[in-house]
Amino acid sequence: MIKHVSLRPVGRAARLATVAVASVAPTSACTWSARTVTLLLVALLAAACRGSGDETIVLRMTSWQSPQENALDLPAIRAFERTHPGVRVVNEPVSNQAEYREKVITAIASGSPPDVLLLDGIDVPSFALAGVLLDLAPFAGRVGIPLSTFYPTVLAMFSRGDAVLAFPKGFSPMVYFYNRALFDAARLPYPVDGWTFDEFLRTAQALTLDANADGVPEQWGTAVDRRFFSWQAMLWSGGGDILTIDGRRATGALDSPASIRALEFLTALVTTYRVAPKPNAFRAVSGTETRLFYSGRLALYPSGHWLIPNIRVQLARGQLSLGVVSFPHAAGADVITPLFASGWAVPRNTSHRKLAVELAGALSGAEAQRQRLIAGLELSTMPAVQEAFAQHDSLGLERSFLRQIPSGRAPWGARSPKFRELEAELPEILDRVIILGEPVAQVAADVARKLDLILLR
Amino acid sequence: MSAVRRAASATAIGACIVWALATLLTVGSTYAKVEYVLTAYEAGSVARARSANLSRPPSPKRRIIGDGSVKQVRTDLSRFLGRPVTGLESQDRVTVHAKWFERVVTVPVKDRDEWDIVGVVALRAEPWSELLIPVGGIVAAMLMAIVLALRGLRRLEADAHASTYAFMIAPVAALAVTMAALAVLVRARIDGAALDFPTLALRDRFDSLTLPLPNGQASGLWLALVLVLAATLLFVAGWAVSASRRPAARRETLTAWAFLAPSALHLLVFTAGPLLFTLYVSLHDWDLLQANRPFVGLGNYAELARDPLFWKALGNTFIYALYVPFSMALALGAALILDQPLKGMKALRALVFLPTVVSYVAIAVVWQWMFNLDYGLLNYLLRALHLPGVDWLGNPKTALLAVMLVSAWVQLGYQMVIFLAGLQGIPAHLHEAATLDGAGPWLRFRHITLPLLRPVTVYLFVTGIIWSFQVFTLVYVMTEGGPVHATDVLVYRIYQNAWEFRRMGYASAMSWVLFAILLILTLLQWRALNKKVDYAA
Repeated sequence: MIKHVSLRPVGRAARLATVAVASVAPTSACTWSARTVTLLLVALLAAACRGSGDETIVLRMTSWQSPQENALDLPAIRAFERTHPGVRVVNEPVSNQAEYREKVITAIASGSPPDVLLLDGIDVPSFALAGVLLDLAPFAGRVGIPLSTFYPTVLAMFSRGDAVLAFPKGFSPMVYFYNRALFDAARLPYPVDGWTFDEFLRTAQALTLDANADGVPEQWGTAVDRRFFSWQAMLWSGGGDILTIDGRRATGALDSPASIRALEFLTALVTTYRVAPKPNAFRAVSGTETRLFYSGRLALYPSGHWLIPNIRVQLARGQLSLGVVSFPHAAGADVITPLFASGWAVPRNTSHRKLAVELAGALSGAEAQRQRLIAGLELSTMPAVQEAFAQHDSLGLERSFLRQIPSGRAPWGARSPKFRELEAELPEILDRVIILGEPVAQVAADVARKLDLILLR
Repeated sequence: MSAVRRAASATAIGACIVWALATLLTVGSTYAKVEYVLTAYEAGSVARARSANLSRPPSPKRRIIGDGSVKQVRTDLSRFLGRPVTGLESQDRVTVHAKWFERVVTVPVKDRDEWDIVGVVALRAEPWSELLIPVGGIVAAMLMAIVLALRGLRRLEADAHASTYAFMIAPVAALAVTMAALAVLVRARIDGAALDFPTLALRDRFDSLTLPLPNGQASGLWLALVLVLAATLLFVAGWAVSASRRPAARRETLTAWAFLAPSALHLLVFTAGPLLFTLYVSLHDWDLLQANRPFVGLGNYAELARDPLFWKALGNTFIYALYVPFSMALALGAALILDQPLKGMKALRALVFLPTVVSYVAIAVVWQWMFNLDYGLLNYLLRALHLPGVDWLGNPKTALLAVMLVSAWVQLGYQMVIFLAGLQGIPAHLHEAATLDGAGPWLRFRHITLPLLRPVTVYLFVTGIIWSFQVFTLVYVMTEGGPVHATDVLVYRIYQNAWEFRRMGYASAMSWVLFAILLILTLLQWRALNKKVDYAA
């Protein structure tokens, strides 16, 4: 008789279910609908009874990581569960970063946040302003990762005063990847860190080939992406910036002579020198330049460490031979590159503060970072871990990345709470100059005024 | 007393009782929450004293149920509540334990570094002590409203020409006045508690050891909703009595409402409710992450008027909507062709309809490649014809046109199927009669097909315009509103402001402007196009 029941209630609920189902067995005159209703009631009762006897503590964590990345965190999670009997960690990832942000904001606003969440550097200012995250500084030592173990520049991105809003778990500077085979074919020496805009241009020109002279090169020297994160380093290394040093105004920075010169250089790569294809970096086809690079039709490609896992596939097949070099700089300016980082944070209103902080610590710990480093996802935020790994890297790429760290600076995203609004306006600079042919100085002045209005609001 | 009036009287009494219970629940729960906050504050003071190892902890006004180690308090609490209590060792925040009407608030005692839970303080909450005045007011208002409603119903029955509204307004007014007084009382209680609750100003390092005060606005909203429900029921009762002389009409109306009720309720809860809430949000500077959401009146609407990007997006949306008549003309042509009784037509119809069931994201990605300047299919064809390639999505002059083309392609199948259904609904004898009278294909199309397709055309045009104003996915995936805002449309701006910039108030204001535009456009379209054609008659 009970074989019809597919539920597996526990304890008292199981006995209730047995009695209830037996009382409406088909031998009686009751109808199927009556049985269905009774079964539903029993199911509800079982569900209601279950919670009271279950003492397992569930910690919810969430991130925008891909399934492959989540798999890398599993050893740290399992180890945490082993050292915390009665605690179960449930991972609720959202692979799309925009949707992830919506989910986290809604969860915090509704008072039911996850216990641990992955915080992008760009969200630190707004989350800090809202005061929704727990200060992890007092607990860093307790969970086995003293704050002194992190790169100071990276840690500073997640700090406000003495407070630390997340344990940084990984980061990457922006660099240029270059295809060694194309350099060899053009008999050019490999670029070296600290090269200048002029050297960069000459190299890109030498590597741009239009064999059939149809006006569309078969091989491009470099690529320009309209999204700001991609050209932030070029602007900085040209001596310019989008905001003044206090982050309160754009006029005086974006329309400064240095910024205009840097932007002129960047856009001229497409318009005047024609060493880069027209930027076409809309959301779904942002991989156009990546594919050109993989297929040996692009010599210098600006990107970050996140490209390494895909590159490794090409390297393993022997289809690609590449190096990493810093962004070029203008004469009289230093090379500066943004550091993009993320870290594990704990909302203030979590139900299990201690456990959540311990879990955040475990996910940001040396072993977890080593796993991600081995997978090539990002640089470790711990110098000891990063340097030990770089020494064993036969490709030399990690050492090249390490060399960029002293030139690294926290991007504006990690400093300005209104950066998302500012960032949305910045591709307009490249669009108006490259597509509409407007002068850089005029466009920079226009956009600077728009940014000022956003900052003043 | 007639049966109708008995039923109406029962409904009116029921409405007043429902109002009283729901109001009591709203006011009671708000008062209870305030009490929990204050109890938690007292317990927190004791817990902090314990953490600091003070020899004389503050004495709370409320009764102490437990104060000591976790084990000891668990035993005390279990005895008081009459059931086992678990999870105190790891419960890192204030917790309200309930059993029937008993409530106990527990606060963990941390070690000096606020890391490990070393004990618990449990105080009994007494939410009922402050409720005497509101409960008295609610009961008095309920009784008064019942008396007024019954008197009104009696008069309605006696006077055939009496207005339902006039006679039911008195009990509703009694309930409304009480509701307003209760709202003031609730507000005063919350504000009073805020004064007794200094940690609001001096927040703890960890918010999890305090409780937030309840939201007075939310309580006010619930009180208003309860009043609306009660008023509706009172008017229904009055209507039943006044319509009792026309039982057939009454039965018909009641039956209609009974059938409509489930969907009306759904509409009220999931459409009208959120719609009105966005109106409320649009009057505030509303950031989901910030607890403080100041009222800005029409500030968001004023900012809209000054925002050039909004006007740009609005203009783009109007231009984008022009694809609708274009795709409808194509769909009508396709329907006329596919309506022919030829072999393979069903397969062809399925083929044309296919894009309608494909994911918009997949369509957008495929078309992005088709439009690619260097490797796209369209430019490949143009170059094959010795024409220069076009940067479809990269050029502000062509980007919106490209998105419109994709939309027309997607909508074509759906519109074609609807037109096909319309064509097959036209009686064949009308065409036969016209043919006998010597009308050619064009004249038959002009004077028979087209006029008789008018309802279908109106439907497709109105829904098409509404959908076109709500375009989002194609823009989001294909262009992100660029280049130079050439494809920036209203819904994309709403999304960007709400979720990327977290400006919910501003985004809500934009939504209401969009709603108003759609309402006006739809009314105009109905007026211009919805003329009945019925040759059969």
